[in-house]
Amino acid sequence: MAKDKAVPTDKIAAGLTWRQLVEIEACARCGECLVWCPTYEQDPRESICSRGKLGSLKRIVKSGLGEEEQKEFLEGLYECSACGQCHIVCPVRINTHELWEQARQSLVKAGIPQPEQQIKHLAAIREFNNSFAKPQAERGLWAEKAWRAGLLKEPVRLWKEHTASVLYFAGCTASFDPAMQAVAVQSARLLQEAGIDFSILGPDEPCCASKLRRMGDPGFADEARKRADLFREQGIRTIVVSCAGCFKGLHSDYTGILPVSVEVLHLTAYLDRLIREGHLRPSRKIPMKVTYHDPCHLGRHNQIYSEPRSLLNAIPGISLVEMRRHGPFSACCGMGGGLKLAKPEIQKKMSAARIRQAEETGAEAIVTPCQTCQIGLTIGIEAISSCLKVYHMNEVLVRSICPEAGREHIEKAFAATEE
Amino acid sequence: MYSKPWVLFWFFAACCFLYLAYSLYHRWKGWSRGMKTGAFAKVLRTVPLKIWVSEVFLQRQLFSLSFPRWMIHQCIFWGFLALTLLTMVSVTLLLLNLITLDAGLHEFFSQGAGRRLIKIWGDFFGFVLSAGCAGALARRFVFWSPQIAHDKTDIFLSAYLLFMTLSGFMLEGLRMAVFPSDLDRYAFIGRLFMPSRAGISSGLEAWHTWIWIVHAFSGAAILIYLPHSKLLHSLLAPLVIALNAAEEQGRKDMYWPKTKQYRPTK
Amino acid sequence: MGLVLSLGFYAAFLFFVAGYLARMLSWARDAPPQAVPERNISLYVCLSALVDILLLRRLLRVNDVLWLGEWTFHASLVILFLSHLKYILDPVPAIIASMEIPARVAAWLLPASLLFIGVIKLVIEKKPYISSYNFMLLGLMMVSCVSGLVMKYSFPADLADIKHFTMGLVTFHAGISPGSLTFLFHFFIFLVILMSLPTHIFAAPLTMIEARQRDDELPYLMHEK
Repeated sequence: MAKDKAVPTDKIAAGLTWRQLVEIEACARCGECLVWCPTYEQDPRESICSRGKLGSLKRIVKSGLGEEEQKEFLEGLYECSACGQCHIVCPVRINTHELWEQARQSLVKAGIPQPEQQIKHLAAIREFNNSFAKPQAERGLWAEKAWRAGLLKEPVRLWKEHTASVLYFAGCTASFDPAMQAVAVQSARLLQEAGIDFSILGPDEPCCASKLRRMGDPGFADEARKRADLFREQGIRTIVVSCAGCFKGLHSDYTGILPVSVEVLHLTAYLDRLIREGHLRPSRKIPMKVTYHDPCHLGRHNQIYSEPRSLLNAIPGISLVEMRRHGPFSACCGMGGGLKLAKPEIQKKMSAARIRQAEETGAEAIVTPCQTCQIGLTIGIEAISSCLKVYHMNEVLVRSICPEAGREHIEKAFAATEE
Repeated sequence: MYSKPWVLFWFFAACCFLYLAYSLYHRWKGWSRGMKTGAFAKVLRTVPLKIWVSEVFLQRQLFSLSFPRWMIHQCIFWGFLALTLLTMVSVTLLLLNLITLDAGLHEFFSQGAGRRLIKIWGDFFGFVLSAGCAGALARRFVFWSPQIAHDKTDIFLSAYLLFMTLSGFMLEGLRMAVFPSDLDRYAFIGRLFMPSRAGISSGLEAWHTWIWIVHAFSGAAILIYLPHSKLLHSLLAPLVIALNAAEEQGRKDMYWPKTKQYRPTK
Repeated sequence: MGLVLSLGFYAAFLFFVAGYLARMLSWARDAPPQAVPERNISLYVCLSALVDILLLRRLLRVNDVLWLGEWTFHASLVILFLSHLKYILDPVPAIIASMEIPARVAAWLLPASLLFIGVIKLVIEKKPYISSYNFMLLGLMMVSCVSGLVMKYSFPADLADIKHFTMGLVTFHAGISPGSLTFLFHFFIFLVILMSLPTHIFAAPLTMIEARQRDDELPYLMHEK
């Protein structure tokens, strides 16, 4: 089938599923994808939108692309956060974001690599077992610092010391990023407030490796299996994650790898359940008009829309006003899918656009349950010098339940321990 | 009536069918290079029929995005489907008649009272299809919808279908003018294409034959063009919708939201 | 007059044949010995080459708007050529006789497509160079079309006379030339075109088969992007 040996069309085709090969040819070329695509909005080229990528993929698995065309196609393939908006609006129902991730993997296997920055990042994840290129020994330090600073009700225990009923999986960002460690601290504190028996893996907590899947690293399946084995060995049955990316990883990407007996929950959904069951009572009034940003990996990819909203509505004083694009139509902030590594300036523009949408609602703040989105939206706020504030969901809940664990207290305490 | 080179036509149509079959087989070979994911088992067990009907036949997703586009696409979809059905039924009856297994149906539809139904069906759906194509071309060239890709193959397809319906009506009008029959009043669109009595001369039979040749052979030729154009989505989209619906069964956020109100205006 | 025309026809025809043979000989002489490696000509190669020619596929790939004009031009030319065969065949075969209706359509499409091509090349794409040979040929074609249409609709010539004359040409019985001035003009233009007929008409099947034989298809063999 392949005439040109330089572009291994058969190998690329073999790296996709047969359904995806059918999907590639089923595009009706209606262009609905580019109307909704938040990346196309900032960079309106045909090679960026789904229709363009599908057309190029069709040719690449059939007979290969010319050098220029291939370069353009690869640029478009990686200038995409795989947010899945196009999948929702496509009249043919093509599962686009899955296709892009699978295509990235297939191309890498066939010898066509990702952008340079992505390769470096993936190598760092493999080497350090986290995405911050820091020693794993530092991974659980947030918990120790928080306990010493009096921010927690009791010390957080390591799983190897105490096999709890729930594992709290903090994720690399909350564990290592100083600006985001507040998320991990507040998650732990909220679980303690609800009286949940949980532990963390601490320095044994691996990176969820979902970034490998996002950016098409062929080693994802093996890495996932290693982590699944670890969970099994440790007897872990329930995992609560605070990062939407880790949640998509452990809940969706690990389908078929993690046994169905292991339950993976996102913290927001878990906390919502705890509030309904009366274990958590947001009592202090927070008089604030907020809008909610659905993270792609939580909303569109896992259909968690109502739990975060009911959680917000359970906090007295909060008045929630929706952006025009919310729920399944939430506009991506650009942090996912490796887009920030490949095209940081596009991500900045995408998040700036999202902040402008938030400003239109008249809200004082934008709330999101994902720390990566929080970083992304912060970039947007800085880009247009907006007066809007961005809060993690934990922050709002903590202010209503245990305000002494509020973000500014954590940051002050952690800064003090640095000195 | 007037002479039609049937033998040549059947030979050509057979070649077109063979080419389409070969082309689809070639494509299927291409698809089988991909990894197997066991989706078939899911489809056979749990295809949500409701989603398939609403997405493939009623095109609910398109309806929730834009009413005019939905209208145009429904016209093209049903017009094309109905006319193809008409052709298939006529051909089947013709072939059955040749081996005397048609139980008189061929006679009924071609000469008897059933001809009325053929005329009404053909004219109505021919009109619907041409209205749809005209709408699609208007959207492309008059209203300049920004999301349309001005790919020549896309333009060609709408123009091609419009050409087919118009040439079909021309043929019908011409025949009705030269060989009138009292069932002609049922061909309510074809009547508009009848040339005036004053313009009819004896040379019209040759014109008849050639317009028939152009119409029939172009119609068969669409089978050759189908696998190379976006018309392939008419075969593949229902398949993809079924497969994805089976996997994402009844996702409320994808299958039933009121999409239009969130659409970014462009 | 008839004799002059007949001699003119034979001279033009001989000139054409001789010129073509001379060109073929010069190509054969100039070609390096290992230019064409031995390859099998399979049915697939022949069929693909046929499709390449019938659809002008290589032009379609590089310039689809020009393709529309060129394809219409070539198709109309073929139809008109086939239809004109009725002037040198007696009795006229049914298949040639049935070409009358397509020929009446082609007679209008031919000058229209020439105009279309002219507009594309000169006005829209503003081709920097078009050879004078090309100009001459297209101009001659246009004049020939127009004279043909004039002959059909404005100053109808006696077809029986014309048929008698043309049959005389091919049976080497020099006949009386038809009285119609438009016919004389039309015929004369035809002779000039005959003498300057481009060789790609005959070379195309060979080049297309050659291109198809090779794996890489020589993608821009006839037309640059």
